[in-house]
Amino acid sequence: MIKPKIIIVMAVIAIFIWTMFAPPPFLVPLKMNLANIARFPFRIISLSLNSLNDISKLFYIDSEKLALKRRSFSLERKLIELREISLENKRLKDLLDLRSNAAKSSIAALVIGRDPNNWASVVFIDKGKRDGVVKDMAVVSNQGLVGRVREVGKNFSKVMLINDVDSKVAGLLQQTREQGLLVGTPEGRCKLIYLSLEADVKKGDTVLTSGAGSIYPKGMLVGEVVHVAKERGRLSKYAIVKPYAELSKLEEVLCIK
Amino acid sequence: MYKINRLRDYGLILLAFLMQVFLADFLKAGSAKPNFMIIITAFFALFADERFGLEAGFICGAILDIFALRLFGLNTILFSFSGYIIGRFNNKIYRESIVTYAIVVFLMSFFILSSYRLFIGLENRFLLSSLTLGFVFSPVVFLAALYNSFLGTLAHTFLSRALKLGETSVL
Repeated sequence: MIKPKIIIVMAVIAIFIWTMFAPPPFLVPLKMNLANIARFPFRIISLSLNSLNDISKLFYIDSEKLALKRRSFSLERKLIELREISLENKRLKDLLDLRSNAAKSSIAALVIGRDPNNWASVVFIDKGKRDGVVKDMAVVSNQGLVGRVREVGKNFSKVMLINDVDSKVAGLLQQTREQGLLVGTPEGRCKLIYLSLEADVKKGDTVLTSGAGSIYPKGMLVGEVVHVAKERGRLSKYAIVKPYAELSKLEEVLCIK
Repeated sequence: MYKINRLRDYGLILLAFLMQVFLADFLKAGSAKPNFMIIITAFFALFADERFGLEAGFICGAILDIFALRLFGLNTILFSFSGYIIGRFNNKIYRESIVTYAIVVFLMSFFILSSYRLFIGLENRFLLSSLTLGFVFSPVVFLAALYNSFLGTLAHTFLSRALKLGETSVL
Protein backbone atom coordinates (compact mmCIF):
# COMPACT_ATOMS: atom_id res chain seq x y z
CA MET A 1 0.00 0.00 0.00
CA ILE A 2 1.46 3.37 -1.06
CA LYS A 3 1.39 6.03 1.62
CA PRO A 4 -0.67 9.18 0.79
CA LYS A 5 2.40 11.32 1.61
CA ILE A 6 4.38 9.66 -1.19
CA ILE A 7 1.51 10.17 -3.62
CA ILE A 8 1.38 13.89 -2.76
CA VAL A 9 5.16 14.26 -3.18
CA MET A 10 5.06 12.44 -6.53
CA ALA A 11 2.15 14.64 -7.70
CA VAL A 12 4.01 17.83 -6.73
CA ILE A 13 7.15 16.66 -8.58
CA ALA A 14 5.05 15.74 -11.63
CA ILE A 15 3.43 19.21 -11.67
CA PHE A 16 6.84 20.87 -11.41
CA ILE A 17 8.24 18.76 -14.26
CA TRP A 18 5.19 19.60 -16.36
CA THR A 19 5.59 23.37 -15.75
CA MET A 20 9.33 23.07 -16.46
CA PHE A 21 8.98 21.80 -20.01
CA ALA A 22 5.51 23.08 -20.91
CA PRO A 23 4.93 26.24 -18.89
CA PRO A 24 1.22 27.21 -18.70
CA PRO A 25 0.33 30.69 -20.09
CA PHE A 26 -0.43 32.16 -16.65
CA LEU A 27 3.05 31.33 -15.35
CA VAL A 28 4.98 34.31 -16.77
CA PRO A 29 2.50 36.98 -15.56
CA LEU A 30 2.42 35.28 -12.16
CA LYS A 31 6.24 35.19 -11.95
CA MET A 32 6.53 38.80 -13.10
CA ASN A 33 3.96 40.01 -10.54
CA LEU A 34 5.90 38.27 -7.79
CA ALA A 35 9.24 39.55 -9.08
CA ASN A 36 7.78 43.06 -9.33
CA ILE A 37 7.73 43.21 -5.51
CA ALA A 38 11.53 43.24 -5.60
CA ARG A 39 11.75 46.13 -8.06
CA PHE A 40 11.90 48.93 -5.49
CA PRO A 41 14.54 47.39 -3.14
CA PHE A 42 16.55 46.23 -6.17
CA ARG A 43 16.51 49.74 -7.59
CA ILE A 44 17.66 51.30 -4.32
CA ILE A 45 20.44 48.75 -3.80
CA SER A 46 21.69 48.96 -7.38
CA LEU A 47 21.68 52.78 -7.34
CA SER A 48 23.61 52.76 -4.05
CA LEU A 49 26.11 50.24 -5.43
CA ASN A 50 26.53 52.27 -8.64
CA SER A 51 27.15 55.44 -6.59
CA LEU A 52 29.72 53.61 -4.45
CA ASN A 53 31.37 52.34 -7.60
CA ASP A 54 31.52 55.86 -9.04
CA ILE A 55 32.98 57.24 -5.81
CA SER A 56 35.65 54.54 -5.71
CA LYS A 57 36.55 55.36 -9.33
CA LEU A 58 37.10 58.97 -8.35
CA PHE A 59 39.62 57.91 -5.76
CA TYR A 60 41.44 55.11 -7.48
CA ILE A 61 41.45 55.79 -11.19
CA ASP A 62 43.30 58.50 -12.97
CA SER A 63 40.45 60.40 -14.60
CA GLU A 64 42.51 61.60 -17.56
CA LYS A 65 43.55 58.05 -18.41
CA LEU A 66 39.95 56.93 -18.19
CA ALA A 67 38.76 59.76 -20.43
CA LEU A 68 41.44 58.96 -23.03
CA LYS A 69 40.57 55.29 -22.88
CA ARG A 70 36.91 56.12 -23.45
CA ARG A 71 37.78 58.47 -26.31
CA SER A 72 39.99 55.86 -27.92
CA PHE A 73 37.25 53.25 -27.60
CA SER A 74 34.66 55.63 -28.98
CA LEU A 75 36.90 56.50 -31.98
CA GLU A 76 37.61 52.85 -32.61
CA ARG A 77 33.91 52.13 -32.53
CA LYS A 78 33.21 55.00 -34.92
CA LEU A 79 35.84 53.66 -37.29
CA ILE A 80 34.22 50.22 -37.30
CA GLU A 81 30.83 51.81 -37.83
CA LEU A 82 32.14 53.96 -40.69
CA ARG A 83 33.71 50.93 -42.32
CA GLU A 84 30.41 49.14 -42.01
CA ILE A 85 28.54 52.13 -43.39
CA SER A 86 30.92 52.39 -46.32
CA LEU A 87 30.55 48.70 -47.18
CA GLU A 88 26.82 48.93 -46.77
CA ASN A 89 26.66 52.06 -48.89
CA LYS A 90 28.49 50.34 -51.70
CA ARG A 91 26.14 47.40 -51.65
CA LEU A 92 23.08 49.56 -51.43
CA LYS A 93 24.23 51.76 -54.30
CA ASP A 94 24.66 48.64 -56.35
CA LEU A 95 21.16 47.60 -55.57
CA LEU A 96 19.71 51.12 -55.82
CA ASP A 97 17.68 50.32 -52.77
CA LEU A 98 18.33 52.77 -50.00
CA ARG A 99 16.80 51.82 -46.72
CA SER A 100 17.40 53.08 -43.23
CA ASN A 101 18.13 50.65 -40.45
CA ALA A 102 17.65 53.19 -37.72
CA ALA A 103 15.63 52.14 -34.72
CA LYS A 104 12.07 53.46 -34.60
CA SER A 105 11.80 53.97 -30.86
CA SER A 106 14.00 53.52 -27.83
CA ILE A 107 13.51 53.33 -24.07
CA ALA A 108 16.36 53.96 -21.62
CA ALA A 109 16.43 51.67 -18.58
CA LEU A 110 18.50 51.07 -15.50
CA VAL A 111 19.93 47.63 -14.74
CA ILE A 112 18.69 46.86 -11.24
CA GLY A 113 19.75 43.25 -10.70
CA ARG A 114 21.04 40.00 -12.11
CA ASP A 115 19.62 36.51 -12.35
CA PRO A 116 20.73 34.68 -9.20
CA ASN A 117 20.97 31.33 -11.00
CA ASN A 118 24.35 29.86 -11.88
CA TRP A 119 23.89 28.95 -15.52
CA ALA A 120 21.97 32.01 -16.65
CA SER A 121 22.97 35.39 -18.04
CA VAL A 122 19.96 37.59 -17.41
CA VAL A 123 19.61 41.11 -16.05
CA PHE A 124 16.59 42.90 -14.62
CA ILE A 125 15.67 46.40 -15.79
CA ASP A 126 13.42 48.95 -14.15
CA LYS A 127 11.14 49.47 -17.16
CA GLY A 128 8.12 47.42 -18.19
CA LYS A 129 4.77 47.47 -19.99
CA ARG A 130 3.86 50.84 -18.49
CA ASP A 131 6.94 52.41 -20.11
CA GLY A 132 6.32 50.79 -23.48
CA VAL A 133 8.70 47.84 -23.18
CA VAL A 134 7.48 44.80 -25.09
CA LYS A 135 8.77 41.25 -25.41
CA ASP A 136 11.62 40.71 -27.89
CA MET A 137 12.84 44.31 -27.99
CA ALA A 138 16.57 44.42 -28.71
CA VAL A 139 18.68 45.81 -25.85
CA VAL A 140 21.91 47.74 -26.42
CA SER A 141 24.47 49.65 -24.38
CA ASN A 142 26.76 52.44 -25.59
CA GLN A 143 29.31 49.73 -26.47
CA GLY A 144 27.22 47.28 -28.43
CA LEU A 145 24.47 44.69 -28.42
CA VAL A 146 23.45 43.41 -24.99
CA GLY A 147 20.50 41.07 -25.56
CA ARG A 148 16.74 41.08 -25.81
CA VAL A 149 13.72 41.47 -23.55
CA ARG A 150 12.28 38.06 -22.66
CA GLU A 151 9.71 38.65 -19.91
CA VAL A 152 7.84 41.89 -19.27
CA GLY A 153 6.07 42.95 -16.09
CA LYS A 154 4.26 46.21 -15.24
CA ASN A 155 7.44 48.13 -14.51
CA PHE A 156 10.07 45.41 -14.42
CA SER A 157 11.53 43.27 -17.22
CA LYS A 158 14.00 40.45 -17.67
CA VAL A 159 16.64 40.85 -20.37
CA MET A 160 18.35 37.75 -21.72
CA LEU A 161 21.97 38.63 -22.49
CA ILE A 162 23.68 37.47 -25.70
CA ASN A 163 25.88 35.07 -23.73
CA ASP A 164 22.91 33.25 -22.19
CA VAL A 165 22.48 29.62 -23.13
CA ASP A 166 19.08 30.29 -24.78
CA SER A 167 20.24 33.34 -26.75
CA LYS A 168 20.51 33.08 -30.54
CA VAL A 169 21.58 36.04 -32.67
CA ALA A 170 22.04 35.95 -36.44
CA GLY A 171 25.63 37.20 -36.77
CA LEU A 172 27.78 38.46 -39.60
CA LEU A 173 31.53 38.95 -39.94
CA GLN A 174 32.08 42.53 -41.05
CA GLN A 175 35.14 41.94 -43.22
CA THR A 176 34.12 38.78 -45.07
CA ARG A 177 30.29 39.00 -44.79
CA GLU A 178 30.30 35.38 -43.63
CA GLN A 179 27.13 34.60 -41.69
CA GLY A 180 26.70 32.42 -38.62
CA LEU A 181 24.59 31.99 -35.53
CA LEU A 182 25.79 33.54 -32.30
CA VAL A 183 24.79 31.38 -29.35
CA GLY A 184 25.55 31.58 -25.65
CA THR A 185 27.05 28.83 -23.49
CA PRO A 186 26.21 27.86 -19.89
CA GLU A 187 29.61 29.28 -18.90
CA GLY A 188 28.59 32.70 -20.25
CA ARG A 189 30.64 32.76 -23.46
CA CYS A 190 29.50 33.72 -26.98
CA LYS A 191 30.08 31.28 -29.80
CA LEU A 192 29.51 31.99 -33.52
CA ILE A 193 28.55 28.63 -35.00
CA TYR A 194 27.68 27.25 -38.45
CA LEU A 195 30.61 28.97 -40.18
CA SER A 196 31.64 27.12 -43.32
CA LEU A 197 35.02 25.36 -43.33
CA GLU A 198 36.19 27.69 -46.11
CA ALA A 199 35.19 30.80 -44.18
CA ASP A 200 38.01 33.31 -43.78
CA VAL A 201 37.68 34.02 -40.06
CA LYS A 202 40.53 35.28 -37.94
CA LYS A 203 41.20 36.67 -34.51
CA GLY A 204 40.19 40.32 -34.27
CA ASP A 205 37.37 40.15 -36.84
CA THR A 206 34.32 42.21 -35.96
CA VAL A 207 30.93 40.53 -35.55
CA LEU A 208 27.72 42.43 -36.31
CA THR A 209 24.07 41.47 -36.37
CA SER A 210 23.00 40.26 -39.81
CA GLY A 211 19.40 41.40 -39.47
CA ALA A 212 18.02 37.92 -40.18
CA GLY A 213 14.97 37.38 -38.03
CA SER A 214 12.93 40.30 -36.78
CA ILE A 215 14.42 40.95 -33.35
CA TYR A 216 17.84 42.52 -33.87
CA PRO A 217 18.29 45.34 -36.42
CA LYS A 218 21.02 44.84 -39.02
CA GLY A 219 24.57 46.14 -38.52
CA MET A 220 24.66 46.41 -34.72
CA LEU A 221 28.05 45.91 -33.11
CA VAL A 222 28.24 42.61 -31.27
CA GLY A 223 31.84 41.71 -30.53
CA GLU A 224 35.27 40.61 -31.66
CA VAL A 225 36.53 37.14 -32.61
CA VAL A 226 39.06 35.88 -30.07
CA HIS A 227 39.41 32.24 -31.11
CA VAL A 228 38.60 30.12 -34.17
CA ALA A 229 38.41 26.33 -34.35
CA LYS A 230 36.78 23.46 -36.24
CA GLU A 231 33.70 21.87 -34.68
CA ARG A 232 34.48 18.33 -33.59
CA GLY A 233 32.56 15.82 -35.73
CA ARG A 234 30.95 18.50 -37.88
CA LEU A 235 31.67 20.10 -41.25
CA SER A 236 31.77 23.63 -39.88
CA LYS A 237 33.92 26.05 -37.91
CA TYR A 238 33.09 28.12 -34.87
CA ALA A 239 34.48 31.31 -33.40
CA ILE A 240 34.52 32.44 -29.80
CA VAL A 241 33.36 36.04 -29.68
CA LYS A 242 34.12 38.57 -26.96
CA PRO A 243 31.17 40.99 -26.76
CA TYR A 244 32.01 44.70 -27.00
CA ALA A 245 29.46 45.44 -24.30
CA GLU A 246 30.80 44.66 -20.83
CA LEU A 247 27.98 42.32 -19.92
CA SER A 248 29.11 41.89 -16.32
CA LYS A 249 29.21 45.64 -15.66
CA LEU A 250 26.00 46.88 -17.23
CA GLU A 251 24.42 49.91 -15.58
CA GLU A 252 22.21 51.58 -18.19
CA VAL A 253 20.77 50.08 -21.35
CA LEU A 254 18.53 51.09 -24.22
CA CYS A 255 15.58 48.95 -25.41
CA ILE A 256 14.99 49.47 -29.12
CA LYS A 257 12.29 48.39 -31.53
CA MET B 1 20.95 22.48 19.45
CA TYR B 2 19.72 24.89 16.81
CA LYS B 3 16.51 26.73 17.70
CA ILE B 4 14.37 27.66 14.73
CA ASN B 5 13.33 31.30 14.66
CA ARG B 6 11.45 31.81 11.41
CA LEU B 7 11.70 35.60 11.35
CA ARG B 8 15.48 35.51 11.80
CA ASP B 9 15.99 32.52 9.51
CA TYR B 10 13.84 33.93 6.70
CA GLY B 11 15.77 37.19 7.12
CA LEU B 12 18.99 35.24 6.57
CA ILE B 13 17.51 33.65 3.45
CA LEU B 14 16.57 37.11 2.16
CA LEU B 15 20.10 38.34 2.89
CA ALA B 16 21.56 35.36 1.01
CA PHE B 17 19.25 36.13 -1.92
CA LEU B 18 20.30 39.79 -2.06
CA MET B 19 23.95 38.73 -1.89
CA GLN B 20 23.27 36.31 -4.75
CA VAL B 21 21.70 39.03 -6.91
CA PHE B 22 24.19 41.82 -6.22
CA LEU B 23 27.45 40.16 -5.17
CA ALA B 24 27.67 36.78 -6.88
CA ASP B 25 28.76 38.21 -10.24
CA PHE B 26 31.45 40.36 -8.64
CA LEU B 27 32.78 37.35 -6.74
CA LYS B 28 32.95 35.17 -9.84
CA ALA B 29 36.21 33.23 -10.12
CA GLY B 30 36.52 32.57 -13.85
CA SER B 31 33.27 30.87 -14.79
CA ALA B 32 32.63 29.67 -11.24
CA LYS B 33 29.84 31.73 -9.68
CA PRO B 34 29.18 31.34 -5.97
CA ASN B 35 25.71 30.34 -4.79
CA PHE B 36 24.77 31.75 -1.39
CA MET B 37 21.36 30.06 -1.51
CA ILE B 38 23.03 26.63 -1.46
CA ILE B 39 25.25 27.71 1.43
CA ILE B 40 22.31 28.92 3.54
CA THR B 41 20.09 25.91 2.74
CA ALA B 42 22.91 23.53 3.71
CA PHE B 43 23.38 25.44 6.95
CA PHE B 44 19.73 25.21 8.01
CA ALA B 45 19.42 21.57 6.92
CA LEU B 46 22.56 20.62 8.83
CA PHE B 47 21.73 22.40 12.07
CA ALA B 48 17.93 22.11 12.21
CA ASP B 49 15.98 19.01 11.11
CA GLU B 50 14.71 17.54 7.85
CA ARG B 51 11.44 19.49 8.05
CA PHE B 52 13.15 22.85 8.28
CA GLY B 53 15.77 21.71 5.75
CA LEU B 54 12.92 20.97 3.34
CA GLU B 55 11.21 24.28 4.18
CA ALA B 56 14.37 26.36 3.72
CA GLY B 57 15.20 24.49 0.53
CA PHE B 58 11.69 25.04 -0.81
CA ILE B 59 11.81 28.78 -0.11
CA CYS B 60 15.31 29.25 -1.56
CA GLY B 61 14.47 27.21 -4.66
CA ALA B 62 11.13 28.98 -5.19
CA ILE B 63 12.75 32.43 -4.95
CA LEU B 64 15.38 31.39 -7.51
CA ASP B 65 12.67 30.02 -9.80
CA ILE B 66 10.62 33.24 -9.68
CA PHE B 67 13.61 35.17 -11.03
CA ALA B 68 14.73 32.52 -13.52
CA LEU B 69 13.83 32.57 -17.20
CA ARG B 70 13.61 28.84 -17.72
CA LEU B 71 12.88 25.50 -16.04
CA PHE B 72 10.40 26.86 -13.50
CA GLY B 73 10.26 24.53 -10.52
CA LEU B 74 13.59 22.77 -10.98
CA ASN B 75 15.37 24.79 -8.30
CA THR B 76 12.44 24.20 -5.94
CA ILE B 77 12.67 20.43 -6.41
CA LEU B 78 16.47 20.26 -6.17
CA PHE B 79 16.79 22.56 -3.16
CA SER B 80 13.88 20.93 -1.27
CA PHE B 81 15.26 17.44 -1.92
CA SER B 82 18.80 18.41 -0.85
CA GLY B 83 17.53 20.22 2.26
CA TYR B 84 15.45 17.20 3.25
CA ILE B 85 18.23 14.65 2.71
CA ILE B 86 20.85 16.67 4.62
CA GLY B 87 18.37 17.27 7.46
CA ARG B 88 17.44 13.57 7.53
CA PHE B 89 20.99 12.40 8.11
CA ASN B 90 22.45 15.35 10.03
CA ASN B 91 22.48 13.44 13.33
CA LYS B 92 24.75 10.80 11.82
CA ILE B 93 27.57 13.23 11.08
CA TYR B 94 29.69 15.57 13.17
CA ARG B 95 27.89 18.71 12.05
CA GLU B 96 29.68 21.20 14.30
CA SER B 97 32.86 20.71 12.31
CA ILE B 98 33.68 23.24 9.60
CA VAL B 99 35.12 20.42 7.46
CA THR B 100 31.82 18.51 7.60
CA TYR B 101 29.95 21.64 6.57
CA ALA B 102 32.40 22.28 3.71
CA ILE B 103 31.91 18.71 2.43
CA VAL B 104 28.10 18.99 2.69
CA VAL B 105 28.11 22.30 0.77
CA PHE B 106 30.42 20.79 -1.84
CA LEU B 107 28.19 17.74 -2.37
CA MET B 108 24.98 19.76 -2.41
CA SER B 109 26.48 22.27 -4.89
CA PHE B 110 27.76 19.47 -7.11
CA PHE B 111 24.36 17.75 -7.11
CA ILE B 112 22.31 20.91 -7.78
CA LEU B 113 24.62 22.50 -10.35
CA SER B 114 25.17 19.32 -12.38
CA SER B 115 21.44 18.43 -12.30
CA TYR B 116 20.59 21.92 -13.54
CA ARG B 117 23.07 21.55 -16.40
CA LEU B 118 21.50 18.22 -17.32
CA PHE B 119 18.05 19.81 -17.57
CA ILE B 120 19.41 22.81 -19.52
CA GLY B 121 20.93 20.32 -21.96
CA LEU B 122 17.65 18.42 -22.26
CA GLU B 123 15.64 21.59 -22.83
CA ASN B 124 17.98 23.32 -25.31
CA ARG B 125 18.09 21.67 -28.74
CA PHE B 126 21.48 23.22 -29.56
CA LEU B 127 22.98 21.57 -26.49
CA LEU B 128 20.98 18.36 -26.71
CA SER B 129 23.10 17.10 -29.61
CA SER B 130 26.28 17.53 -27.56
CA LEU B 131 24.84 16.41 -24.22
CA THR B 132 27.50 14.23 -22.65
CA LEU B 133 28.67 13.35 -19.14
CA GLY B 134 31.49 15.83 -19.74
CA PHE B 135 28.92 18.57 -20.22
CA VAL B 136 26.88 17.68 -17.13
CA PHE B 137 29.87 17.11 -14.84
CA SER B 138 31.92 19.92 -16.37
CA PRO B 139 35.05 21.17 -14.55
CA VAL B 140 33.14 24.45 -13.99
CA VAL B 141 30.64 22.55 -11.81
CA PHE B 142 33.51 21.12 -9.78
CA LEU B 143 35.15 24.55 -9.42
CA ALA B 144 31.87 26.24 -8.47
CA ALA B 145 31.19 23.53 -5.85
CA LEU B 146 34.70 23.95 -4.46
CA TYR B 147 34.27 27.73 -4.37
CA ASN B 148 30.92 27.35 -2.56
CA SER B 149 32.46 25.07 0.02
CA PHE B 150 35.23 27.61 0.64
CA LEU B 151 32.67 30.42 1.07
CA GLY B 152 30.64 28.00 3.18
CA THR B 153 33.45 27.74 5.73
CA LEU B 154 33.43 31.53 6.07
CA ALA B 155 29.64 31.54 6.39
CA HIS B 156 29.80 28.72 8.97
CA THR B 157 32.27 30.67 11.10
CA PHE B 158 30.16 33.81 10.89
CA LEU B 159 26.75 32.15 11.40
CA SER B 160 27.78 29.81 14.21
CA ARG B 161 29.19 32.79 16.11
CA ALA B 162 26.25 35.06 15.34
CA LEU B 163 23.71 32.37 16.27
CA LYS B 164 25.80 31.12 19.19
CA LEU B 165 25.87 27.51 18.05
CA GLY B 166 28.80 26.54 20.23
CA GLU B 167 32.43 26.04 19.44
CA THR B 168 33.50 25.32 15.91
CA SER B 169 36.15 22.74 15.39
CA VAL B 170 38.47 22.12 12.46
CA LEU B 171 38.11 18.35 12.74
